[in-house]
Amino acid sequence: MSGHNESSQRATTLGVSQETLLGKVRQALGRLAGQAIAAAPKVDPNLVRLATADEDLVALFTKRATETGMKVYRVQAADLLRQIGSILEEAKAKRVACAVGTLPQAVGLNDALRRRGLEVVDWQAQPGFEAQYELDAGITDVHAALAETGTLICNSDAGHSRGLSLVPPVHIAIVRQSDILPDMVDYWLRVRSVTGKDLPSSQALITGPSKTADIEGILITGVHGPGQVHILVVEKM
Amino acid sequence: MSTFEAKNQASAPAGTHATVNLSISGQELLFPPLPYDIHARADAATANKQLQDFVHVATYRKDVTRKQVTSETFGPKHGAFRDLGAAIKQHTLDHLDHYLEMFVERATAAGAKVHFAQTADQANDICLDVARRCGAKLCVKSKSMVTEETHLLPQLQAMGVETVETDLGEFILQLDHDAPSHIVTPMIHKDRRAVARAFERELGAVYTEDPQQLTGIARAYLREKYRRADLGISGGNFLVAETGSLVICTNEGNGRFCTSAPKVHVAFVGIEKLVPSYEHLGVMLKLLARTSTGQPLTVYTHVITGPRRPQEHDGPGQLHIILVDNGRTEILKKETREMLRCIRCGACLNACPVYRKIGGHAYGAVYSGPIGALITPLFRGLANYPDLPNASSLCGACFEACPVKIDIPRFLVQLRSEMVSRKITKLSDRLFYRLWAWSLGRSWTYRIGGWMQKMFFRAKARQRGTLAKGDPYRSRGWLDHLPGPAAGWTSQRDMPTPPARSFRQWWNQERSSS
Amino acid sequence: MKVTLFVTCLTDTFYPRTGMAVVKVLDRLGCQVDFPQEQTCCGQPMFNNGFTEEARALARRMVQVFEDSEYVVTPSGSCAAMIRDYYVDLLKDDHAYAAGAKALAGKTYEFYEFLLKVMKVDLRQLGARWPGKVTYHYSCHLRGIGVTDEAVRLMKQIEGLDYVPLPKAEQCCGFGGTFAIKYPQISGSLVRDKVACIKETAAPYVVSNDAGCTMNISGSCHRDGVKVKFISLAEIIAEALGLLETA
Ligand code: SF4
Repeated sequence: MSGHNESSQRATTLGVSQETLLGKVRQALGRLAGQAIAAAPKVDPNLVRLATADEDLVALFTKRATETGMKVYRVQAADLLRQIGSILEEAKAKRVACAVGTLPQAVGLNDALRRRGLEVVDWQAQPGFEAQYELDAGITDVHAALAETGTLICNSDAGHSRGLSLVPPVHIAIVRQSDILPDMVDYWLRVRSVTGKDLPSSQALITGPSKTADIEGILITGVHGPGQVHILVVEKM
Repeated sequence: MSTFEAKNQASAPAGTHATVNLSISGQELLFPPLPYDIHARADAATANKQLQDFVHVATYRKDVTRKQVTSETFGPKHGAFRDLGAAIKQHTLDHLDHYLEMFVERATAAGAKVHFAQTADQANDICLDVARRCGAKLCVKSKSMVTEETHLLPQLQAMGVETVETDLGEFILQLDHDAPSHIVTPMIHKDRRAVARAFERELGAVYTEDPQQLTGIARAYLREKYRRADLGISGGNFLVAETGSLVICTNEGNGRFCTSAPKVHVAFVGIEKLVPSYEHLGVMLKLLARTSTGQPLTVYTHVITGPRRPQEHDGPGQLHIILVDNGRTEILKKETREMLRCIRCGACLNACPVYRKIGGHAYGAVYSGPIGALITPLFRGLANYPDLPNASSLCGACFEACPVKIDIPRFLVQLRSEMVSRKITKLSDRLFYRLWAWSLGRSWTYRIGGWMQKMFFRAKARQRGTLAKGDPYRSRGWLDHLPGPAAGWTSQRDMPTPPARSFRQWWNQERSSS
Repeated sequence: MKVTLFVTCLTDTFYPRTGMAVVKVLDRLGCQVDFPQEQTCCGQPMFNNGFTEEARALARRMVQVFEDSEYVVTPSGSCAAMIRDYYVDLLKDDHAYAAGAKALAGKTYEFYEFLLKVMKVDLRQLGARWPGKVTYHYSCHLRGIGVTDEAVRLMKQIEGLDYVPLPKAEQCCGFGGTFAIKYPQISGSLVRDKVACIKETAAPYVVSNDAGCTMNISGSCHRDGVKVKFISLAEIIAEALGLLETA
């Protein structure tokens, strides 16, 4: 570590400056700095959209998510806790944690799970990734879901860590019917005007359990991320 | 090498996890002595039954899946989708300075530190500097073609940072001192037995050929690495100018681990990866996974905008994005710009009959297959890779597969043309083709040429007794040996001779009067 | 209708019967066929190997030779592709020839495509009959000009013809001109794949409409003692209409 000081002094000279690189780019393009640009290609939603609001979104979402290897359950609000309980039981989960969002708290999830004898970890007590390694399951709501691809969108914020949908071997996602958007286009339109620090540092579009086909093309789930993803679509909330 | 091992061992916590010798000898496959001649590796590959069984079968299957899935998903819109994908990338490249500037501004506003590297060494130096400053000892890395280009790993290892590939395929390759042979499925050339042997030898695991168990061994090993890693390195599939976001598409989840668990994240991204906005990103994502693996989206499409926010629970405190040129501004010139549209979906590799036969290592470079045959000579010198533009039958399967419609066959011909004009093409070939062209340039020389060819072939066939009698417009003979360079033909198959009479003779006899 | 035949250099020398069949079928359909003696080669070998200037000279020559033609018809997909895909670009800066190149590209057809798109033939109505089991080799250059199932559609119009699809039809046979000579192992491995697929169909005839592919695949069959016959669809149609003697 003797080079530490030296390297911090050197830091500004590492690589090239932005202007140098941009200069090379402009030279290749034959463009001048600040030169106006042509309009970007228009993304016609009618072309790009592969699912529309007219469709039965729950059915489409269920079909596509199931095809990717996630399990989808359609449940009534009253039945939600029981369903989560039985998934956890089947997965032999003992230590679990829940995201802090409108949904889990609205249904009193933490207390209900404790009453079932599960250890509910307060993952927020210790910031960082570490606390999440010992969990058997992570339970989250979602920021949106996409019918066309069967995708869950889990973003980071104060109540949602990156790790809950990634680190434990089981991920349980609670999706309200109203969370389901027809197509990815609709999600990007929703976040269109948000940029920079106002965006979450992590938006994870999740389409299936963690998978690999690296060994002889044989599909294996649960490589690094969760091998099981259970989705509870709550019909009315 | 022994010093790396010593360092690696020293950094392993006593009694916990074994640290293995992570050699980089396999990298020589991607960085052979130059100029590179394809024949030795290509010929060995075509004779290698295992490679034929794995690569040929797997790529063919992927190609069939791609066709099925894209036609089911996009239906009659497929053409318009590809046009749009191509237009988005082309537009971004045409105004790359503008979008780079926007990206840097937005990413910086979101808290990322953006660096600029013109060369591979500069890119590596930036990363090494970050590693040094954060006192990194253990680095977890997800798949990145750019770091293969810059040959980053040996340098990190040399400075004592144990660096582990975490993509299952790349991890196995690293353990087995091998190198990736496909841009999407890097260990397509290996079978489970090779994995089993590597795990037994390098990790001390119990020998098993069960892919599920093998995956489990890797999972457990790599989890420990994630827990202890203080540096995460990734590539990037897209950069979004409007929001300053970095997008990483993976299936296993290692990409999310590497970019979330360690306190510092460094991303190596080529400057061609930009798209203007999320809307445009959406189009590219829809094309990418369906073309690449037939999935609707990769399992994890991770959109990263800046480092962890103060209110957020986890994620790296520092995000460094290294924008890498390393030859790209050369390709950005008008004549070759279109090649930079590539989104590395791998569809052209899967569709390519030549790739299917010779596998990725035969290309002797980081990028293989049809797109590799184009960009490798541009990155590393046409004279250094004279075979790559030529080892193609120009069948056009790649162009048909490409989601951003890169006209690969046309560019292969363009490179061949450059080889001729720069006299990289052999003198004997230049003379031969020019003489041939001359003889085709007037009908009397053409006729004499055709007649001589016929007489020569038929005389040889007669000598060998293979010349059939009968219909003068149909009966022919066969040659099993041709002289000179044409011996290449007869080394594999027989050569038919022309029949006794040509079409022209028939026409002149039967028709010319009428 | 006046139709000019571009027979191509390989067909002229190696597969004259295909050219004869094309002429006879066009005759039968009432076309006036002419054959300019000045024609040689489209320049594809030069172009593909990077001899752009030489290819350009041959392209100019072709434009001249076919200047007065109404339709140019060729039995070779790859030569049609050369003219349609590349001539315009090759001659775009040549003021004397740019317009001619465009015109030639616009009036050049692969024979089978011409039968369906321009002549709108229905072989059934012409009483085409050809008993036999065939499989069909799809040559790669048809991709470039957007020809897909034309040949198959025509075959299905022939009574008695039993068409068996070739497995892995879209994989190149490994010809590729000089490629077959300079990269013999790769090319050889590909053509043996093709032959294996042909064997799988158990068809005694292979319909192949590209002279280069035919030389390659038939050469491999001959080397390995695989007894199948190669025939172009033009020959089959001519035989099916009684215009050529069945061999
Ligand atoms: S060239 Fe096209 S098909 Fe090949 S990897 Fe790139 S995007 Fe995919």
